Amino acid sequence: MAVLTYKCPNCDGGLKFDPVSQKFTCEYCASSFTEEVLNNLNPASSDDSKVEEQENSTSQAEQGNLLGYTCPSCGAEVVTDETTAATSCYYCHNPIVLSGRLDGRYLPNKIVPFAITKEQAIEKFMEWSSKKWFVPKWFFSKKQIDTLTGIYFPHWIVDTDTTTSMNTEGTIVRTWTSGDSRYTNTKYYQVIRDGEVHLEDVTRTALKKANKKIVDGVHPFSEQKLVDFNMGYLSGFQAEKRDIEREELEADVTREIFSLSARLTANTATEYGGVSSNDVAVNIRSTDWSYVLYPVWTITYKSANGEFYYYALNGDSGKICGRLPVDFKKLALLFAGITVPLMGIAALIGGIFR
Amino acid sequence: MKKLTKPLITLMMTFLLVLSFVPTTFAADKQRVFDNEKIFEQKDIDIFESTAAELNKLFDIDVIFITHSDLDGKTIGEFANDFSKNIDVSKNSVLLTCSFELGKLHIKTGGKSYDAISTADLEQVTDNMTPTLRQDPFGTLQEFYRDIYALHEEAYGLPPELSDDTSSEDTSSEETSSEDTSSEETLSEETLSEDTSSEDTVIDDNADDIAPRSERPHIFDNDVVYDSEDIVIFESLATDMYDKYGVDVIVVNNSDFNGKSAKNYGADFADRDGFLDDNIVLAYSHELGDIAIVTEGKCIDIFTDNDLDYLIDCVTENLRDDPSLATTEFLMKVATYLANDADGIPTTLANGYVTDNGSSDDETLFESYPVLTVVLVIAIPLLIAFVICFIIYRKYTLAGSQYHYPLEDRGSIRLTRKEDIFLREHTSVERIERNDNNSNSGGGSSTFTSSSGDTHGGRSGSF
Repeated sequence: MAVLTYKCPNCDGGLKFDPVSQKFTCEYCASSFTEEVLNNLNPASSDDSKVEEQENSTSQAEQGNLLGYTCPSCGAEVVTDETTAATSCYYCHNPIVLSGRLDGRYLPNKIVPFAITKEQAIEKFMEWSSKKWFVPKWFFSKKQIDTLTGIYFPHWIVDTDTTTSMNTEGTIVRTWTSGDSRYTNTKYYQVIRDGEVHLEDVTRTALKKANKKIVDGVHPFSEQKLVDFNMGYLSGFQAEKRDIEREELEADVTREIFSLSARLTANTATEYGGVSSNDVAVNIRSTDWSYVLYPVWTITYKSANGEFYYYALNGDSGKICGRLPVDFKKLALLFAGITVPLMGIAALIGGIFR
Repeated sequence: MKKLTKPLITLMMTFLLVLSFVPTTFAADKQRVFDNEKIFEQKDIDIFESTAAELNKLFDIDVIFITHSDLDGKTIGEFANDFSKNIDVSKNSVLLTCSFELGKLHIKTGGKSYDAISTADLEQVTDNMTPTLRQDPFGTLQEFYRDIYALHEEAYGLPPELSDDTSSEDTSSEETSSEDTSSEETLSEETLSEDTSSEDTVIDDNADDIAPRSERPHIFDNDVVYDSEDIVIFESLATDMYDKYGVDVIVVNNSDFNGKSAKNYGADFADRDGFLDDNIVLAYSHELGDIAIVTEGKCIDIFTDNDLDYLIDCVTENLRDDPSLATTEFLMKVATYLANDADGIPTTLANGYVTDNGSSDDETLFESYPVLTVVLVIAIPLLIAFVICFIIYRKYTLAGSQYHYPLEDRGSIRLTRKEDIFLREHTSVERIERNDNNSNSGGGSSTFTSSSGDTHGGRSGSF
């Protein structure tokens, strides 16, 4: 499997994607390169390539779901789980892309690149957590914050075209009063509708191991920000390879497509009573499944008792989601702070102290 | 949630610890009135309870009064029998059971009361009650208690010490009526000295048997507005307060106050030799329409001006129509003040702060407050604090929520065929019902026309 590290053509330092400039920058010589330049560093044009690639570098010491790779920069062994597609070397901190995990059928169609830097994510995190008085102090430690990681999560999005047909009976009811009588007039119509429905961006998470709440909590991602996938966007971040195939999701997605198409068709006859989406027949003409990566900043912390806490931030829009630890001493103080004065007031009102 | 368990347990333990200091049951006098139908106000029930307690004291009988709406589907006799098995009632008893809803009334006697009240007497008592019970339940019940008193007094007489009191009262009344009304006050003094001597004799003769008593009567009915049995009950109440609290509670009425104001008359009356320095006097004149309540000694501290105004309001409400009722209320409320004072509970009935809760020796601070109130004072703050803390905890543990993409709004449809074919039409007619003021279906009661042509509302039934 190919293990890639994007190297600066000027100084051989590691290149990372910069969310602010949307370019690829070198931390050492401060050079920056466009996507076009980076594409010219493709391993295929290998003569002057600065892309280091090692084939079949998978370690023999494969254990369980963990796989070992050799870092192209320092030769150290990098251990990842089976779905990791991009990471960094623990020793030389150079970004590593496990390109073999994202080629062929696993090559993403689109990607929303990170638009928020780590510094901005930390700033937002501190701003958000500073209002959370009941989080233990250790959660704000530098060591903890440094673990903030940018991860691309895999998703499926589906565009579809369907044909729909509805042939049902609808009613229009009119009432009026004259003298002591109330009149009710009901007109019955045969309501026929045939249509062509187009639906976009039916979205599903494509990673089992991801804490679904982390990813779902920071949606939505803007489909307008989707760009064609380039391996370089992963440089400097972590990325996950999908472990949910479209076959596993097809039944659920089809159900949603049927429901949406039927509702859109029934909504064209809202002036009639008795017309519902149950009267609509749906036929799927085509579906287009795209495999995309969405950017999320996360901190995951495992407490002493084994519980996981997380903080997640949409790497494009900045939307925040999190499960935070609670300092029960502070909470108990608040409990007492509320209870004691209220008891005093209630007692005074009730006349206990006289 | 595991983390939350420990502090929650601690808080619950604290809550239970605090609750453990709250007395859950309080001592109470024996209950003889069970107004399940809620016909009477609490003050009426208190008067009935007091009267029943006095009858118990005088004749060692339990006069039980029960109201119940549906009698649990039983006959009234069966209901009375079953009910009496579930309450603390002596075998010497009169059990009056009523259902105002069903219009039923039943009296059952036992033991001494069975011997004292013949079947004919029982029918007479029932006949006395039925015409007025629905219109004037309180007055009718008072009449009932008077009948029970009279029948037992006739059968067994009064306890010796009360017999003497009554005779001296009767004597004073007779003397008053035979003498010139202008000398009533003098006559009262004479009566007082006679009473004192007779009282002393009784106390000496029964020193081992009877409780210590006031050396003078407390009720001076110069206007002769009370029945003799009323006076016995009033004297008993006043004596009880004298014995328990060391206070003379005096009631005096007269046709005039010898040219004095009611307040001065009452004050001068209390200053006479023989009364304690701690006293409260109710003085009134039907003829003049004046009333005063005068306090002395520690009663000045116990009763504020507001309290006295309140007592006067209570008394004057019924004084002209039913002086016995008004006097009973006065004595009962004074007893409440004195009882609470003895237990160190400041009482302000005027502000509705403490309800009239009798004068049990076992009263505690908390007895003046319903258990529910005390519990709420503790539980509501705990509940509020718990809810706030729980909301915070939930916010920390489940921040963010699942987003649903607006797929339906983003979706598009192009109709390739759209046809609306008219099939048929149907029109229905419904008659609108109007409210008719003369029918019974609208609001208000049904109407009828009397022989004079006037329109009346009303319903009829049986009792």
